[in-house]
Amino acid sequence: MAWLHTWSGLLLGWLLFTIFLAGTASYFREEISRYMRPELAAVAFDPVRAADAAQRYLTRHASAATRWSVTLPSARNPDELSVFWRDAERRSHSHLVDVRTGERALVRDTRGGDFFYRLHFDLHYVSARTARWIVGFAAMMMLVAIVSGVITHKRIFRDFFTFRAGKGQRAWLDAHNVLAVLPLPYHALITYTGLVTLMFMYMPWGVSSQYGEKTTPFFDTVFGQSAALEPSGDTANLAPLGGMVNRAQRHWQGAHAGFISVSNPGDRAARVDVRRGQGCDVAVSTAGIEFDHRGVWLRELDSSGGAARVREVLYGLHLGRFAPPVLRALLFVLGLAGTAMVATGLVLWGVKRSRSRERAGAGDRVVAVLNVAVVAGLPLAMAALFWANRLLPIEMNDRAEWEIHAFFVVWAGALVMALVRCDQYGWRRLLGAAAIAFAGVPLINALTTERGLIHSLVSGDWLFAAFDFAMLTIAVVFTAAVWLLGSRQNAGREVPRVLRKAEV
Amino acid sequence: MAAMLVSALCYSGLCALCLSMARHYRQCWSRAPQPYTVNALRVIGWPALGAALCASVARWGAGLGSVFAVTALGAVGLLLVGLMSWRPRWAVLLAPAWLAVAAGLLLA
Repeated sequence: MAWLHTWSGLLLGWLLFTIFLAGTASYFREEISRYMRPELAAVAFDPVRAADAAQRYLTRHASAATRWSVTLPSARNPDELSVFWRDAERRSHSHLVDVRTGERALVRDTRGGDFFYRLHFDLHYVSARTARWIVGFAAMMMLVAIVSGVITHKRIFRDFFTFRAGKGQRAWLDAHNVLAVLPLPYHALITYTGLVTLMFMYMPWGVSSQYGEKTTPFFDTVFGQSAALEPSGDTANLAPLGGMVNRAQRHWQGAHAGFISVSNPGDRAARVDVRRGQGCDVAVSTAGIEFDHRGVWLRELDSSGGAARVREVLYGLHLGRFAPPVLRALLFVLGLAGTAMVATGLVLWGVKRSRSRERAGAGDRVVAVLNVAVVAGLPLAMAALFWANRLLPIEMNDRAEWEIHAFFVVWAGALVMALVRCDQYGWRRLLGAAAIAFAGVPLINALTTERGLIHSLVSGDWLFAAFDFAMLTIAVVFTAAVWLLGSRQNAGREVPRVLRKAEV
Repeated sequence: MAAMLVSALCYSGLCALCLSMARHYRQCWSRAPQPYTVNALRVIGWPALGAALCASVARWGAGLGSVFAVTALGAVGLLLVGLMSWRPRWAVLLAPAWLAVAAGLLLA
């Protein structure tokens, strides 16, 4: 059983580390987005006003479209109002609208925190479908690793609190065990609920056995979607969306609207679908209200049935949007623990191998290189993304894509550095680079925008101040890691053979 | 505030259960625990964890409350393990101190 845990963990460890770290960062997705759009000034949270602003913009620019989608601001991100439509040539348009003016928001083109969110299940440079199959497989292997880990860990209760620091392989094993066992419910839940969010893709046979190829009626019925209508051809003005949002919010007793979908806008057969926002309940909400073009209440939409409700709860548990600030911070800590669990497991494999009498083979080198490149390189790449966000020219074409290219270029650079040196020095070098990169983020912020740390502290812009402080804290942590690795070398303590300088 | 109390109860409970194990008791006081000490610590520890769950559910309802309690348990447990391996005495002292602060905030 131990070999099952070792191999399921090792072979997918680097991908799982990426998924865990990007997913953990996604707990602060909106905050990252706001930091990466410094031009957007803080606006009071008002979905009604936002809906009207979106309507003004869409009426002017998208009158020929058959469908409008409006993502309303959330409480965590009150400045971000985005609209989406397809024009007559089926080209898609996705714009940010300024809530105050109803004009296009003058903001740099960036994916913001959504990049980390998408990275952890859609990866990048591959199609979403391919990526989700890969990630789903990794998640299944993660479950295998969790279960086999618990079975293999015979002294799980006796070693519950054990951490013997500074004793080489035993310390790494203790760290791996503690990080895995104490937050075990969290790790198991996140992995399982992650698979549940994509369950219709991984296990489609139940639905397709009843509905065949056309599965849309299933989703419409179960998740309360409204069926599409044919346009009547008569034009009619669309009533103010803000009023409809207001009515819906009053019906939901204060819960905010999150999404509006308008089909056939400007036509008499228009339908407005106002969906409840997330974050009010543990379960993800699919509740919605359908209005006609005059704003007359047609019907209430919601998911039906216990199974749909169970799925919504599980999905909601994975997203964690229900969490108030303290709980979100705790979930973030546990997410980091999960990331560290994977990382310690990867390092432990190398440490354990170095104790065996065999010579360091090609496989050992592959593991050593990938460990450095992924565990130290991914954080470095994340910091590079923030650098690119501040430094790339605002007027650049495809700026959002180029920020992401910068992320991957730096990550590839880390791989090259790891290929050159994957020993202790290689670790210290990349970890040190990450420390410098993170420390540089607040500096670059202060130099290129007007919302530097001093300004944030003075004007009470707590989001920007907290973000800059977080970057500095991360830099301190990486510096401490570099220092600790150096002191261990000097003290002559046990280090993985593949990490010793003389070999490899 | 309720978060502080739930976390403090989780920490105290885990700390008591940790100390009820001979290996960790020795980390603090360099001698084996007496049997009645072990029992006493277990009698304190488990109910403390139960109280944390009850407090959490009372404050946030069954759904959110149970999520909070389990999450806090994991996070606080990691803190305990880290402190125990660094400064065991401080780890033990933190338990009543944290409870006192949480109780103070609640009463104030």
